[in-house]
Amino acid sequence: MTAESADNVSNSTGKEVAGKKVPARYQRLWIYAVLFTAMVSLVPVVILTLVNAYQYDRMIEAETFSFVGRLVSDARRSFEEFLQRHQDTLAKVAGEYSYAQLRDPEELDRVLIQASESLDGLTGLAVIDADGTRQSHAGRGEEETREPGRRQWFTDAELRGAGISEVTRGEDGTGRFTVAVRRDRWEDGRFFVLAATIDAEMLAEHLASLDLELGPSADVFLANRDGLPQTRPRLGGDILQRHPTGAPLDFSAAKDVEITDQSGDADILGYARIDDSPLVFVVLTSPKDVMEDRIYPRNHSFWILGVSAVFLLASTLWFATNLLRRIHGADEQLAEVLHNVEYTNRMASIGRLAAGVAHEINNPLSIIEENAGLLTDLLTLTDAPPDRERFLAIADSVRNSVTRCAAITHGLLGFAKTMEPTTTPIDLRALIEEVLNFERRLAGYRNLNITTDIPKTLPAIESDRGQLQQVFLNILTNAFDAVDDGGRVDISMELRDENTITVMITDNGHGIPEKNLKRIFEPFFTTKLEYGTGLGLSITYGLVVKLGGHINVQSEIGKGSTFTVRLPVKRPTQD
Amino acid sequence: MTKLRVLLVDDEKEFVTTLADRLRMRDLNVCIAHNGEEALSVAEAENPDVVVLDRKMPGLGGMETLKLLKKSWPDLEVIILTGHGGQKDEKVALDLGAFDYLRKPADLHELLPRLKMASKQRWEKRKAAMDSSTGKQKDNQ
Repeated sequence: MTAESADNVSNSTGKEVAGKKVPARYQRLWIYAVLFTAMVSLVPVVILTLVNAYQYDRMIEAETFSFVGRLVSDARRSFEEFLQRHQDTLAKVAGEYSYAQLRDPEELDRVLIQASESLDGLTGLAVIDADGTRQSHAGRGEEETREPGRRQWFTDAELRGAGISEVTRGEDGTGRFTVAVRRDRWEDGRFFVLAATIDAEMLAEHLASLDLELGPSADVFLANRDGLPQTRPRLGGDILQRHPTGAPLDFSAAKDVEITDQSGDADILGYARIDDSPLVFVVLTSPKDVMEDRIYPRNHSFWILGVSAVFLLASTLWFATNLLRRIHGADEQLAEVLHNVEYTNRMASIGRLAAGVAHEINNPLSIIEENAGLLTDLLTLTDAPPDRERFLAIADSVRNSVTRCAAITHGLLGFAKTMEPTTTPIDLRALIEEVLNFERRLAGYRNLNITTDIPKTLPAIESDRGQLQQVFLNILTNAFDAVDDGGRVDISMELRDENTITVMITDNGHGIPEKNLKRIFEPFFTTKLEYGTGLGLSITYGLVVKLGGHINVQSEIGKGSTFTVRLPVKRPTQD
Repeated sequence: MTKLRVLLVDDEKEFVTTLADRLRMRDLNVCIAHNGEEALSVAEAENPDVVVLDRKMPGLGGMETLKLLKKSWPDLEVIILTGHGGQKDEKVALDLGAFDYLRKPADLHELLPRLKMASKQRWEKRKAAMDSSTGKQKDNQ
């Protein structure tokens, strides 16, 4: 992390949480962490649950279709057998008596009593001749066999030997249906039909006797081909009235089982047309009703999803909160360390300056000391009269030395004044000269050649004087360390564009190997094994960035290095 | 008695001339050099007893000059007198054979006794060397 980012840590604004100010960017980071982690953990679980539920639904639907298909098929067979039994019994009755006996109403009454013992629900008998004219009638249900020639069951009996009617409501309000059989008369080659009227409750009783294994919300009944119930539906309503659910009972499809959409619920309509009759066995149910034991584990997965979601969200919140707390703590520690490092570097710079200053001041002080000593000597060790010219020369020498000291202390005071961070207009040319003043004499001892190429027309820049001094002191110290005695350091500046000034400091030292170039601005990276801290250039980097600038270095082994610092003329506002 | 011969080496000309005047007033034989190279040639010509040497000078620095002087005249005593004055620097100088290490501004009452002690030490070394040489000759005879 750079000094800039470390600074941001402490500069960002935010809300007060638990008595501690948490910067807004940590809150945003917390929200992103929670959303991302929750999404990554929850989305797969939700998708898995939905896919699982969908597949489960398809499986249940297929099994329900299969179950209902078997059920209606079995029921149809049972009803066909039931009706066949009635037909057989009636045929037997028709065979036992002659046409003449059966045409006799009194005889037919006796036959009715006898036949009702073997034909459950039998309420009446009628004999119809081949022309469709009723010849005699016994018992109730006279209206069912009135004008038989126009009835389908008569036509069926005439053509196929037997016929069955739909359920009709008699005059007494009870439901009845008719079973008719044809008997051929061998004496004249004609035939007659014996029709039995049977209580429709027999159909309901037979239906109830079937073991259908259906849930309580499923409906089962017999209907005619138009969908009118022939037995009372389990869910309510009456015979010959529309089904209470309003289900569209359409039996025109070829298949036995199909899905009907009832107010958005996927209901299943199963039906089977009972052969040689107008009756249809009908089941109206839903997968839930049929497969209740299978639905439970399917819904179970939604419960597991809910519990998992709660657990995952709680874990995510805990994790994100802890993570952010740790990151925040680490950032604060890092900011503190970087602050200390910057302070240490500043102290090191001051130490370096102090050493130079001490040397520069001690020399004129020693001149003053020796001149004072000489004055004393001249007055005490010789008897010669005071030499006025010599005394004046000594006084001049003392004054010159004092002036030298004053120049140094004034420069030092100027340096010290800039330790507090402020933004002021700065003449870079003058600033470089100030920095060089501390280094020039020491550089002179090593015969270093320092040149400056700074246009006089450069504008003043808005920046922090103390930090800029530290930047250039660090780079120049580095350059002086890089060159041999007698080496060269060139400082040049140019106005790159109206808002950027480029400062280039070039030395003709040994150059920096490429592997070190990449790491040169890293903290604690140094090649000066004995006396380097590895902080100077990393601090310089951080300071330049903080001042809104940019620094880079180019180097060639054996030829030297160039540090390029680009600084904004107007310092950008800090966040 | 022979005058104590001192070579003052410093690039601060005002300092070195003033100090030279004061030492001469105390009856010392003083010669001057302003850098390391000049110091070596003056030492060759004047054969001083003690050299007072600045630490930081343009060209040949104080430490390098000390090394070369000690190499050419091992018994020559050198006192470092500098405005620089770091502890580490002092140790290096003493290790290279300097007699003492003084910091500017140094009082003459501080410098003079050291000049005399250094000169005395040099003569004692010479005497010891001569005695040792004479002893060996006698042993050989």
